Amino acid sequence: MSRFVRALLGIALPVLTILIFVLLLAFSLMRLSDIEKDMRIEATQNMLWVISRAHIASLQLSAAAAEQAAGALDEELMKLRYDVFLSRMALLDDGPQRRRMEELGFAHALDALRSSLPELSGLMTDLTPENLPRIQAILFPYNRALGQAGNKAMVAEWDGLGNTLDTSREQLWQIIVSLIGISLAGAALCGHFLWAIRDARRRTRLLDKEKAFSELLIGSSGEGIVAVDNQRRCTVWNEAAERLFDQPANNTLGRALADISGFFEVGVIGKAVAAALEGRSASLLDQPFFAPKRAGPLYVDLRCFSLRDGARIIGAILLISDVTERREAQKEIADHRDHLEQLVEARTRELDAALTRERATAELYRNFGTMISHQFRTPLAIVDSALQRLMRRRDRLTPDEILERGGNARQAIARLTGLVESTLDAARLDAGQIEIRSKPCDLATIIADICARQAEQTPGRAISVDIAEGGSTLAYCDPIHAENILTNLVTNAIKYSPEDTEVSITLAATGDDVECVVANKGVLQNEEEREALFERYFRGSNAEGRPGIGVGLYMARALARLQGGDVRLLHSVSGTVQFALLLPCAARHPGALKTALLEQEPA
Amino acid sequence: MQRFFQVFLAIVPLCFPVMAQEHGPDALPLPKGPLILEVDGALSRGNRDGAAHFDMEMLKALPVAQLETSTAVTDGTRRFEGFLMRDLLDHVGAHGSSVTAIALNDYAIEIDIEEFERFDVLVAYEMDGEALLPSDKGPLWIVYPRDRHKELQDIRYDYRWVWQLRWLEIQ
Repeated sequence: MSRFVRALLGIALPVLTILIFVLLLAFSLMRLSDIEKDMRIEATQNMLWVISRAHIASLQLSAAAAEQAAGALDEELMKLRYDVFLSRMALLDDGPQRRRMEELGFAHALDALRSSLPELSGLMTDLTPENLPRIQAILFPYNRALGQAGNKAMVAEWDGLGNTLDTSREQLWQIIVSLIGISLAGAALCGHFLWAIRDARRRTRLLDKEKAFSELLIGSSGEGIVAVDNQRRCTVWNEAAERLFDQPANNTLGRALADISGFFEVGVIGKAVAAALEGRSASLLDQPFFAPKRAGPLYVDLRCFSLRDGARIIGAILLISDVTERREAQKEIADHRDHLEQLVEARTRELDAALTRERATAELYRNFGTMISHQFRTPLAIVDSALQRLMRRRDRLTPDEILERGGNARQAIARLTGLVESTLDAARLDAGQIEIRSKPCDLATIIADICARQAEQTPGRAISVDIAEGGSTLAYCDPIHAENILTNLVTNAIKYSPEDTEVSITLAATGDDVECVVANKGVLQNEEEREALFERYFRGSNAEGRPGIGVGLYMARALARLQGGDVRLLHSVSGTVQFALLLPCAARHPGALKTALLEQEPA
Repeated sequence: MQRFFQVFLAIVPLCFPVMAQEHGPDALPLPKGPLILEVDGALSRGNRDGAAHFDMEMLKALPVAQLETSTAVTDGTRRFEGFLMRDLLDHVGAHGSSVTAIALNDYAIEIDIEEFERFDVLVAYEMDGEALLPSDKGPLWIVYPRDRHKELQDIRYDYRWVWQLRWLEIQ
């Protein structure tokens, strides 16, 4: 409703007022034109004067005729009077004057005079006192008619003038009223224009206020706001942009973006601005920006939008936000995450290792169980069968047979005891209860003792010993453990090689170590077993049916390493298996060597 | 004899200006026919007692001018023939600022000479091919080019249309 009223006040009212204004003006002009026309006075309206001149001419003619008749007047003057009389009469009888006379009702006098003119002319040429009455008679009705016509003309002219004045006065009044109307319309228009001006001012103030608010918004925005026109000339440059680019607004406004900062010349940035100027919004994240007076790069997010005026693109607006801190925070979070991942990975690895260890332990005990069930049962079965035979055949056995059977049983028990010892040794090793008393000792001596003992147990097997010339066979070790290791290696060589083959032992000094290699004929089933051989309770695929609990090589290597040496399976020619015991050379321990020499001397 | 000659010599200079004016090489010829118009006053070329007298033949010898116009006292457009007032004034060597035109019935109107320069004011002796008669508006009628100039269609010009013109006095 208020909008309708507003439209009415804003458009319809002024249009109506202007219409009234124009109509009144046109009416006034028309009236003024009428008055102007009425004010023109034609000569015919001066009828009174024409009539009076004719009357005078007629009277003068009468008088002249009387004087002429008395012979007192010259002929020329008489002719002049007559000419003047005729002239006035012709004037009255001509065109507009004649019509006026008809209107006044005196045309008949003119007609009568005209019909008498030939007679009058005749009388004038022959003027005698006798003719005078006739002339007077002709002129008298004319003179009387002219006198009356003069009166009437005067009345008619004054009436006409009065009417004209009345009409003019009325028209003037109409014009005055019109002018009042025009003034009112003008005042209304002025009022409307004043109102419109005030309204326009109010709107301007409102717009200014809104503009100021917008500028405040743009100015106080933390984001850099930059606007450009179609030629990429800067039109808005807010305070955040001033801080970011270290350029005051009065340096940048009106200049091309590329001249303001190299940042806008970067390929992707330029393309984003171009896209916005073509009507496509563009967004670029984490763009490096090398700000002036700053060592490292800043990182900014850039968003470009088109500025439109209706459907036309008039420029672009660029929102630039400094995301350096956010980026650093994100980087920190990412680093932290990486660190956590590393931790988790390490922990997982530890857990995997623990699991593997647990599985190995479970495997160990399974192996231990299997080994126990096989290796412990066999000697017990031997003892049991020997005792059964002794009991069953108690009365038929000779003392030698009893001795033999008893001997077998004891041998089995001895092996069982050995197994138990080995198991306990391994347990002690695991518990760290093995004591190492290293001293210089000659490995050649130990080998000789072992060979002698082995020859008693397996008299059929040949063992060759080869001790290298020129090198010291003096090692720094615990002689008991060294003997155990070598015994184990030699026993294995005998055990896992064919009966008719020879086991060879070579002893040599190799730099810092003394090396003892025990070799036998035979093959390794597969390469995977190479390292597994040194694991506890592991038994090779060729160990089936042979006594042992699978701790020998494990113990041998562990003991050797405890003494600063090692036990290795050598890569040798096919058909031969070679285990090497390495022990530190006694020469590496001069103090120890001296002690050894002192101990040997009394022996 | 000598005395007579002396008297003659004394008279001649007195008479000479008069004779030079009346009968000089520049003087107007004397009218032969009936007198139609008399021009008097400030003029340098006359033919009788400082005035210029004209018969119809002399007037018709002036450059002929024609004019078609309506009048205030007749109906329709009329064709007038005569001479321009300024030609007449030039002819008599008029050097005044105004002219008083007087009609046969003593009607007298004063007109500025300057007006004859502005308008082609005619002194007509013929209307519609017929001579103007003293018994009508003749023999001479001052005619203004009324239809050619709007300002002449005014009652203040209408009274200058002197008919039955007989005298002109130059002041």
